[in-house]
Amino acid sequence: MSGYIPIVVMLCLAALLAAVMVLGSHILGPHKPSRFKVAPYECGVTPVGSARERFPVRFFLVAMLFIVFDVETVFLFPWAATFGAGDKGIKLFLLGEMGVFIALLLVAYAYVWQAGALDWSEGARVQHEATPPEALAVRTPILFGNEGSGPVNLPAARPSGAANV
Amino acid sequence: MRRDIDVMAEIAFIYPLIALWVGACLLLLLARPLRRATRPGGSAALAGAALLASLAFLVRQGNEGLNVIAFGGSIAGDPLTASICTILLLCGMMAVALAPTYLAARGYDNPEYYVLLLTSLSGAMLMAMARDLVVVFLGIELLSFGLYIMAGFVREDARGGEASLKYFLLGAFASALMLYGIVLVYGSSGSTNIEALRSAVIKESVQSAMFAGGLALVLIGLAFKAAVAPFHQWSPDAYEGAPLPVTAFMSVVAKIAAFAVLIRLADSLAPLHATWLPAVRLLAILSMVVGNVVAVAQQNLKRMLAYSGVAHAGYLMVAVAALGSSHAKGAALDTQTLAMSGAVFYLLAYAIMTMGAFAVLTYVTGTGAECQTLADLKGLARRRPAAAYGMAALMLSLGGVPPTIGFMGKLQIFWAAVAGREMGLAVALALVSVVAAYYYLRVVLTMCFEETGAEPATAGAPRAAGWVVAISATAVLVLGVMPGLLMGLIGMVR
Repeated sequence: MSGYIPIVVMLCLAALLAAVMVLGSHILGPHKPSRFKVAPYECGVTPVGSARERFPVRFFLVAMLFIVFDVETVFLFPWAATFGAGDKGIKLFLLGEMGVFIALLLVAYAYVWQAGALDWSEGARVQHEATPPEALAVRTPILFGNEGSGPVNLPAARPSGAANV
Repeated sequence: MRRDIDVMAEIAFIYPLIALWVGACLLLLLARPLRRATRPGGSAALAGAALLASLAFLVRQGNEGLNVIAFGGSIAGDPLTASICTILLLCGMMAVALAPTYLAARGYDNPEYYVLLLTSLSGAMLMAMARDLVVVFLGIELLSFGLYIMAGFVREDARGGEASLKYFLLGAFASALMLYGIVLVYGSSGSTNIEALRSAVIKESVQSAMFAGGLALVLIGLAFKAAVAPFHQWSPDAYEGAPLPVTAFMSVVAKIAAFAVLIRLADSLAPLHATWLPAVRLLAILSMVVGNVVAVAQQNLKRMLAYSGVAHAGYLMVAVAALGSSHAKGAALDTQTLAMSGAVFYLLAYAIMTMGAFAVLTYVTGTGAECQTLADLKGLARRRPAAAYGMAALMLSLGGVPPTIGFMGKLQIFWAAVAGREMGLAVALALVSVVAAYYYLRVVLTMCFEETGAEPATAGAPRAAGWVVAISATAVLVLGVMPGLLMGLIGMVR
């Protein structure tokens, strides 16, 4: 266990350094908040509306499918790393095992495909039809009082539905 | 690596599981044509074929399957495994028979339901085969995932969603506790293999406090799945909200699988009985009292059967206690045999009685609104005499009235408790049975002597559910008179 002591020391130092920097700037720095300063940072663009937008449930579905298949792929790596060891019979057995595993994944993939979970275009259209009118209403951007004073050009207000596609 | 492993023989041992998985895969691949078929029931037929194939493989193994040790000792076959797997497959067939009409009436007779049912069942069978705590955990998860989804399968039903979410959250919590327990067991003994744990316990080479803590958490996890009080809180809500065929399936299969593991652990870790016996005794008493007393107050039959399930789990815990206690007092081997075969007999009895009771409810429900309260059964003896007589037999059996299988099962557990010198538990078992008789007989009274103005029904009852009612009611009576018919299956448990 003694081999890990340098790592523990480094972890402690890193935590200490981070704490000193954050707390130090908080205590020592001047505080002159303005509305513009405390606004959320959105890549330099003036924020429009709330970040809590509706977006298609399809994103979740695709994300979940990605996680499932991605995690399954992880099992391939230890298998590949140990495949070289052992004689021909064992190798044949291991190949069969992985073949079964991949075949099961393919069954799941075929099922997901036929169920229409990968069909993005159809789903997007359904989503548009289902969007309630109040969600499509033109949003008023948050005003900071400095509009037109600087080089920042306020983007024209747009329907949120357009951002979904 | 050992060179003498016969890979094909080991794989042949899990053919019953593979049959279920192949069935599930076929259902997934054929999902589209099955869903578009004009005649319903295709998915159920395919699932039934998979169950039959699985049973055929199990029977074909015969005595060869009784002493197989496969996959590095993580699963193995013995008489307990074989009998539990057979019971589970029979339950699966009955559950499949109940589903099509009920689900089709709600527009949910989808192949996915049977996929979930088959994988759940394979998880339960894996638990019965497991000789390693990690495989037990794998089986529990495989069993539970299907149950969580099936509980909310009728998506428009808000109660089903509630049941599903409650069951999922509490179940995930219980699984986490159990996994932590397995980690503690591993940390203190260096193994998760049950046989290795047994020899470690005999050699007294485990750190006792940590090991006991781990065992306690494993016990809690299993008690949750088996709905043993005080870990039963999820079961009334989950049973009430879930669709009837799902309630039937989960009330029986989860309990049998959890008790298969409990019996095996109690048998293997009997040398450590001083540690776990007090906890098991407490769970048995609590479960019998809470289950029976609270069931009296229930007007909803699903909730009543949920609490009745808690009570029956208590009776089974008495058998588990007798198993450890017989070891404690140095009793003869046949006391342990008595406790084990009694427990397995009771599991079969519980499976038939509860499946049958839910089958009656499904039968009366037909394609209409779910029949689930006591009031829904009023005048059933006049409306549907056959179903009412079946229900009466099943209720008498659940109450432990002779000459039914419920009585024979309770007698065997009582006998085992007396032989194991668990007098306190034996007396408690007899006392709570009196309370139990009240609420089971109330159902019979409601069916026979309370009337509504409803006309006798003539059509619309699902035929498959009717068959399940007929078979289970007949089995309850025949096996109650001639329990010896089962001894070929149960008597060899040890």
